[in-house]
Amino acid sequence: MRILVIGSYPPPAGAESQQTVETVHRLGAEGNEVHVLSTPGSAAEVLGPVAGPAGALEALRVGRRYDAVVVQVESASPLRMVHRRGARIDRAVDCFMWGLVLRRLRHTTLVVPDPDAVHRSLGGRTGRFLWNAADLVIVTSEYGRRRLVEEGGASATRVAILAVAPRSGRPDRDDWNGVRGAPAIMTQIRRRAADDRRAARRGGIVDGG
Amino acid sequence: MPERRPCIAFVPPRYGSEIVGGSEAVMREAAHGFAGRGWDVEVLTTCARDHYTWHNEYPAGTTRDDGVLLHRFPVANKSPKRSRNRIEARIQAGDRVSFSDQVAWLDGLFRVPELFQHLVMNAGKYDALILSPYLFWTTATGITVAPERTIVMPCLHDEPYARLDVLRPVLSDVARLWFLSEPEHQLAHRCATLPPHTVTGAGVNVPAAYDPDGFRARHGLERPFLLFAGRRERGKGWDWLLSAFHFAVGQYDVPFDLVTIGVGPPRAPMGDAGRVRDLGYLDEAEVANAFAAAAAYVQPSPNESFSRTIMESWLAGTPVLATARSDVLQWHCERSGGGLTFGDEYELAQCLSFLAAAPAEAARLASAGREYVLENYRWEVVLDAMEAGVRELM
Repeated sequence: MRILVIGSYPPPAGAESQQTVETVHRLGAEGNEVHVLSTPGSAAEVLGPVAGPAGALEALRVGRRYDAVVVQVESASPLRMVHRRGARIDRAVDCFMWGLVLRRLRHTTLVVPDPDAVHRSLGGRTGRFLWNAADLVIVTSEYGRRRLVEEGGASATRVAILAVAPRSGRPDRDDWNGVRGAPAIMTQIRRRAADDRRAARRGGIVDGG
Repeated sequence: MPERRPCIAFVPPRYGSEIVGGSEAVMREAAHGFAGRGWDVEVLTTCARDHYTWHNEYPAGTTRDDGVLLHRFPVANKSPKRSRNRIEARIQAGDRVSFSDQVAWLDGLFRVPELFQHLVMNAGKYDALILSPYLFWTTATGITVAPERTIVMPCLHDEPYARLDVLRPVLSDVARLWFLSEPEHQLAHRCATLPPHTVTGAGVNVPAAYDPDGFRARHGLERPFLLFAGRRERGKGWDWLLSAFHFAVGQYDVPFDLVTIGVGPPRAPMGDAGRVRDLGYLDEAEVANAFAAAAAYVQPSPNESFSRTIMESWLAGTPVLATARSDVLQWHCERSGGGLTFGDEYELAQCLSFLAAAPAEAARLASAGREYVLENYRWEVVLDAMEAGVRELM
């Protein structure tokens, strides 16, 4: 399947561009042909705007050539981060435009790694129009699902959670043998959590959808 | 003629032993602490108990609360207007909000004109006025009466309100500021030009004894549990904690229940109904027992200027798991070596995994936390710093 992924992309290697890298990696590992549309200056194959009405039109123009389109929802794209007067109108326009475009494309997915990062609220009529425009909305936690469904008005059947790698049995005493003192324990916690996170992103979707 | 005793007024928006809130508890205990040290102490506050409705629930008038003279004044506009909610949404979204809208936002939650009038008429008799927290009408208006004798304990959080023009004078145009932690102090420097200030911390009472076994028996708690104490609100991280707990239980099979005490609807998801227990509001002694009975205390709130509850947990010998999204909580955990922090649900799950697998090491962490509290946050230590600050104004 030919898939277009839209989102921020390195350089620089920030947390959001890393999320796109992981989405591309996951889709590629499933045997898909994946291309990325990102802003000029990035390492993407296809360069263009990714936020606001201009981004929506570019997504429509480029996305038509693909079997599926995946949009990474970040702090400043596809909904612009606007602080000036009239920001509410800009936000409504962005939601409406992207909602229309997603309805015109085939097999569309919105990936929302962190709903707290989305500028302004998730809700409102145009917010609901956007979240229900994609065939699938992927979140990474139950918290994300609850926020999108309860606040954003997304249909619960469209929202899926990226699976975490299943753990076997209860926490094992041996796992923590010899780990002493808060700094050493914190190092272990962060390392193990990072392993689990990576495993989850490789694992695909198992919950909902 | 006998020498006049120094007189000090505390001005919190709500007051009472049953009020759930960090700044309210610190103000109340500090007022009693000053009274115990021979000061004439008056408390000027509202008749409201609930910070959602601001309804007048206590009778207006003057009473005595142990050694403290308590004046209660009625709240004028008790329910927030719709226009205020719209401004609130814009503030939260980080939009630019005009000064007049900021005033309308401040004014629209509650007003206590009779309290302000009392301050104006009687300010001369007080050697110092202590106001807290920074974002309410009582503080924003109260600082204008006698700024040269006004001390503000802002209880500042890193939130959009902290940068509102209408609240900047609360941080800049008073005689002195008391901060509860070093990260709060640093945040204030980023928000305003500050007058003289001190990091006093907040005091916590050290219970003489705990009854963890009795607590478990009284409430039918047979399994080990994590404790959350306080207001069940999204801003306090409660919604996030419910989801993260669901995740940890489902994916990591951790053997804990989640027990919550405090106010606000707990709204536990249906599937977790058996694992999430709400014990509602408990009195002070039973709260201390709850901390002692817990396997760990979880503090998911990014909006903390001090966090009394983690101190209470450490005092009870219970380890603390705290969100890394709060600089204040990170600061306490790193300074004390007594707590673990989590950045997301995976890290919380790993913290719980550690807790289940290595309880002895977890107890060692809690012990370091207890030493930290006893060294820094006993009321005698904190009152010494506060009293010195007040005497400088006299």
